[in-house]
Amino acid sequence: MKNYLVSVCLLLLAACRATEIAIPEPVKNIEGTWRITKATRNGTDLTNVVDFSKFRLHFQNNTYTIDNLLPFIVSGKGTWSLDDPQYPFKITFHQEGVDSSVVTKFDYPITDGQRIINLVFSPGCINNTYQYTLEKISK
Amino acid sequence: MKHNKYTGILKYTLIVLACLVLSRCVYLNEVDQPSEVKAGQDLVAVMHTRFEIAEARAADRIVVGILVPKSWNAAANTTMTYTTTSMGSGTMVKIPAGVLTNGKEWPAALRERYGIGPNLLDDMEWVVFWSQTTYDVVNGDKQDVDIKIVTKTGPENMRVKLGYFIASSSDGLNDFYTNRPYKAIFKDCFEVTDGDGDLVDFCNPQLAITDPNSSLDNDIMTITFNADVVNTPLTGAQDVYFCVKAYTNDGQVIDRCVQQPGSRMPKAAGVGNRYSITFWPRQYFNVSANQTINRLEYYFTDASGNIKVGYGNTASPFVYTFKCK
Repeated sequence: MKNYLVSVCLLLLAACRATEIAIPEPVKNIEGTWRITKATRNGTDLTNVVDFSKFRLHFQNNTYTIDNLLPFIVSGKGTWSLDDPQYPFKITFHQEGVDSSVVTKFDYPITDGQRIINLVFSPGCINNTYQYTLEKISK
Repeated sequence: MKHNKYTGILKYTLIVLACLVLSRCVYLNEVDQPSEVKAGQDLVAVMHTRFEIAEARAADRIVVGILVPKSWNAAANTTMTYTTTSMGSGTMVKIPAGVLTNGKEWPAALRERYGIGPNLLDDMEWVVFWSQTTYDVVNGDKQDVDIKIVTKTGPENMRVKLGYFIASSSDGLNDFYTNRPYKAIFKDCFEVTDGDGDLVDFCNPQLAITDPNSSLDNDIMTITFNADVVNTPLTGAQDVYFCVKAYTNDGQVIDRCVQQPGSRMPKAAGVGNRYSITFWPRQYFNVSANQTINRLEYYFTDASGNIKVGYGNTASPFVYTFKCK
């Protein structure tokens, strides 16, 4: 009887033990086509004074292409990479025919249930900072 | 008994509130500054400030900000020193990146709070220093602090209203207190003389406003016709158009003086009679990958193109040179 009670107690204790479930952070998949939903220059909103509607940024595998170019981090197609596929903080663009790569901060928050990309860069004078907010329009 | 209970609560509440609403008083009494300096020479200014402490603080620093044209590169070309009534003197250094007040780095926080002050061209920046030494301050302490600022002016001729800001690292831009523990002053128009190029006037309204003031042809550019500055032949015009020539590095002159929807300058809402056009120069002038645009010459016209307004309301064009300083 005594052994039985000990066994029951051990069983109950085991049942109470918290089970840790490791949920791996998913790889950030930005492949697809992105469009600009907001653009600022030195904090001034340009979204409604410049036609950004036709600009498209396509990510596929490790390459990117741009349709209807506007001032951007790069001005032609090439390759891209994230510094960490699960926890990216930087994105690198390497334009074809250009020796050096451009690295910029990669901000990938969820807004209204959707991932967006915020990119900050200076395509002209280094004193002028632009921020584009991009939204994915297809996979 | 009930009365005594509520009286006690009231007293306690008042004591707590008194502690909260008065942390310290900061005064920025005056800033001594010359009226003009030659381009590339040092501007020496002295801020006369006073701190009256009403709540002890540990490891506190004096924080000083200046609002200056970006072209001065003041972060690299400025030194600051200070003297106090009884806490000695010292030097100040640029606040390291990552130090926040109100959730932002200090320059961004001051930009949000004060913008560009009374200046009219948005080509200015806040540069913020703090004392190298930290201080443990006690309730009742009173210190007169004079801060000497030496900053090298840029190469351009300009008129600008400089800004000066004083605070402490502990209280930052805290607005909770009844007497804000920070202060700012914007001075009258200061002039840089004997420099390069046309006068850049941050102080006075201009017929044509370019934003950004410094840009290259791969920036997005906004040009505004401020029709409220003076009566011009375009006063009362229904529509204003942008008439421009671009001069490239290989000697090409690209003419875009056509009155059409793409060159129309819509009137901005709520800011008087201001007409603006925003464009990407490389696209607007369709230059090749090998070309760069050096400068623009432009007028504002009516729908017919017959009425033109140029620099200073004359027949000469406005000139914009692409540069990055």
